[in-house]
Amino acid sequence: MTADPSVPAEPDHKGESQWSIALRQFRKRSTAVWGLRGVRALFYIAVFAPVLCSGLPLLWRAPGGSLELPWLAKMFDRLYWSNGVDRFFNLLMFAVVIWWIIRLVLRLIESDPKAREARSGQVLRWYVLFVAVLAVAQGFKMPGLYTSKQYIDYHELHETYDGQDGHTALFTLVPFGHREQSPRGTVDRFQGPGYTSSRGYHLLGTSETGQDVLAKLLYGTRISLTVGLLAVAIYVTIGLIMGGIAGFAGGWTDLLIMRLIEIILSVPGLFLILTIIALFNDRSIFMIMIAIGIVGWTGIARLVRGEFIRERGKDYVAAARSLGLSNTRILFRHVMPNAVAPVIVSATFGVAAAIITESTLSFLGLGDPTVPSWGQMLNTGRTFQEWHMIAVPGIAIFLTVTMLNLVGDGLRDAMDPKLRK
Amino acid sequence: MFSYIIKRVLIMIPTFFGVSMAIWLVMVMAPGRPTSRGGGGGQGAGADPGGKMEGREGRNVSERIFRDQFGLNRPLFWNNWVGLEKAEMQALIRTVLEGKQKHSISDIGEATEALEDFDRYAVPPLLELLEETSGAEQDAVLGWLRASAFQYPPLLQQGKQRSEDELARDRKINLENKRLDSAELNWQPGASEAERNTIVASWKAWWSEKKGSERWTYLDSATERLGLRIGDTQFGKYWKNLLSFDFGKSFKSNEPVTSIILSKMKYSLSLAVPSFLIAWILAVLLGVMGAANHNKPIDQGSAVFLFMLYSIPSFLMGTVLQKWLAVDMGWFPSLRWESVDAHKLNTWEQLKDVLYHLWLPLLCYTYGSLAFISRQARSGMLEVMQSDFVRTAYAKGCSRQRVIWRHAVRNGMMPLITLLGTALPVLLAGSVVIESIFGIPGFGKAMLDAILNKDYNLVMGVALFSSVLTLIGLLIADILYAMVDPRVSYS
Repeated sequence: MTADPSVPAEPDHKGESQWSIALRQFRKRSTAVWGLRGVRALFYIAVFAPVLCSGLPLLWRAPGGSLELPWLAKMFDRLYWSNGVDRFFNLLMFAVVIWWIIRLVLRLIESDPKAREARSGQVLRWYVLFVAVLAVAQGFKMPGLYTSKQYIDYHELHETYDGQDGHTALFTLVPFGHREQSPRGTVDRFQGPGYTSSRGYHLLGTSETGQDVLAKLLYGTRISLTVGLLAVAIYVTIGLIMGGIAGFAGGWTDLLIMRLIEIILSVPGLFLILTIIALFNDRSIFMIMIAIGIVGWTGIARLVRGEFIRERGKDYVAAARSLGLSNTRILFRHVMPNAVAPVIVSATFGVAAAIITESTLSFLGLGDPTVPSWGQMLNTGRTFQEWHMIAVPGIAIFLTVTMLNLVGDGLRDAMDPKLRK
Repeated sequence: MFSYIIKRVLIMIPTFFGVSMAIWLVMVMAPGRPTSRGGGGGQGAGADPGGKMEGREGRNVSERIFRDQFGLNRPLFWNNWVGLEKAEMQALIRTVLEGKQKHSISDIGEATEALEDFDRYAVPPLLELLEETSGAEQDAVLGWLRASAFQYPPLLQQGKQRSEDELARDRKINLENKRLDSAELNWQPGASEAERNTIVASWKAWWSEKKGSERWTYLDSATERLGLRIGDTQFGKYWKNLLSFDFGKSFKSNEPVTSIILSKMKYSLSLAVPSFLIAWILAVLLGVMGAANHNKPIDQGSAVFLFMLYSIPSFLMGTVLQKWLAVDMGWFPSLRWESVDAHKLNTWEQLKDVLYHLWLPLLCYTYGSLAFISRQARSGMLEVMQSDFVRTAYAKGCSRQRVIWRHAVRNGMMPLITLLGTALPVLLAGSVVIESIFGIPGFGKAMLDAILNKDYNLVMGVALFSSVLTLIGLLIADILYAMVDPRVSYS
């Protein structure tokens, strides 16, 4: 359709939504954009950690044997990936790759970019649902997937077979998993960066049991991100609900919830978290997330309550009420969207804080001992006074927290109308 | 103003009780019973009451003494043991006797633990049962009767001598306990009917002698029974102690919790107070400097620097400084509050020694709050510098110095006052990490150790203490805010 110059162009009444303004403002802040890129890179590192480093060879042929795919075969092995976080991320890894393939196929069959976007949005919805179902199912034991044989040290075998006819071994870029300890523990113990053991090259050195520090570092990303995101998701949910109820209902409900918040606030947060974890005798990272969630929701709740009290008296609420809408509907559909912006900013800083809390717990020896976390590495480094074990996780924590804080700063400025550029 | 303060203090009281209630509930709900670690090793308890019975699966002696001393063997909210029925007792004893053929292991364990916990409340029904039962069941009833009548002498603080009165009391209790084990009140397994009957008769005599003693007066008085129903519970004892500001004794060292906390505060306060002052003064200066030179290199430089400091968690900073400045460079001591041989030095040298050890922890303590507060101070000042009255001040010819220090700072620092209230919990929480890195035996270290040892009383005391400090901090912040800002009215 070509525009007719005699008909005046219809003025664009649509205007701009709060979010698109915020997005545009956010993009103007280069540090924040870099922070976001960094966080995205972390996410990809967490998802694709096994592609970067794994103790299992991608391709394997023993002399006289047939070609095997140990990496793929053990991807969902419960004995090899002993904690749920790893299995979840492994699933996510395949999900992301398959999604890329779907995108590629869509690009080939649909040439119009707008239609393609719409179609891929449709597909994405079903796809996310499918992956979520798989993730839940994966939590239960699926016998077919877990044909586990005994643990094989492929490095050991590779050494004995090396140079023999018909032997093939293709390892990942970093040929170490996060758990594989060196059989020569006393020799490979606490070697500095650039150490070459009989098993391979350790770019960032080795740990107290001869594990590769780089592998531990990369897998630690999974733990940090999981704890950060899920703990914040837990407490934002609680905070939104509690704050919304307190702010909208007022009266006795408000008083009770505010007292509860005051009670939680008056015990130092870290102390409360420590108490919950120690007394419940459960140091899994899920307990840590729940503990952070229980302690952390107060800030969000107070924020939301403040916003609600401000919004409550406004005309649009009265209008909605006169239309006969139910309280819940007014609360969640009309008032809540106005209170979301400060919550998002606060949640971004909260992710950084939750990552710090998790590392602090592991550092104090109260973290999950079964997962490779940064705080735990730092604790080892401090106990044995080894520079590389202090610096490597230290820099990782610092960078992650900095990037998240940059994103948070950027978001806060972008959503503040006074600071618009 | 005065009435506002009164009101604020009154609001604090329910909050305080809410905190103690919440912490108590966490403790009670927590699975895993406290270990008997450091329970005192059972001074004077001697024999294992009821432990001579075969096939029992219950707690060991020291664990039982421990539970008795700290009241953990009582019911939680409502003591229904006061009117224990003999049928109920009989059912429990049968469960234990019949064993694994008929009952699940958890049922047997529960029955055993219940029988162990009943204490003196089980004596009257057991005496009745003793007459009615026979054979192996009577043997078991006798065992439990002996165990229930047994009295544990109170534990004493480690390393403390017993006074004469306490010794006399312990001697008396031990004598009573010996009597329970004597041939007068016991028969050998497989004793004849006649032998048993004489022993039952002597138990009756024992009971008529003991019935009036203070352990069993509740049998005759309804009010006392009601008091026990409410008061002789974990909940009742906790509140009774709380209202008399008695936090009990540490499970580990058996010292009063209050004195432990107070003795730890000296270390933590000498870290927290100087770092607090330094951080706030520096933060205000940095904030003012940044806002006064807005967007100049000095402002941007300090903003980036503070932002980076803000992103370093204290455990990371502490570890790096300890490794770098103390272990590698040797400029500072890496651990401890004072030198090992500090007691040999005179006061002045001791002070110097402590200061020398204080440098690194102080630095770690300060930088975090400095980074946080100065960011707040800067944004507060920036807002004020754009306001009308600052422009007016410039217009009427005030110098830059005067505008900043006389007009802007007072208003720009207003947001910092609200931060004051949260400064205390932040410092306390920070002390956990820093004190465990640098091996300082302060409040935070005590907190962590108490949690790790499941030293319930100490955890509870520490939590209550820190929450009181926090509440006071919040109160002071509110009052200061009302004093500084005339627009705020609390009427």
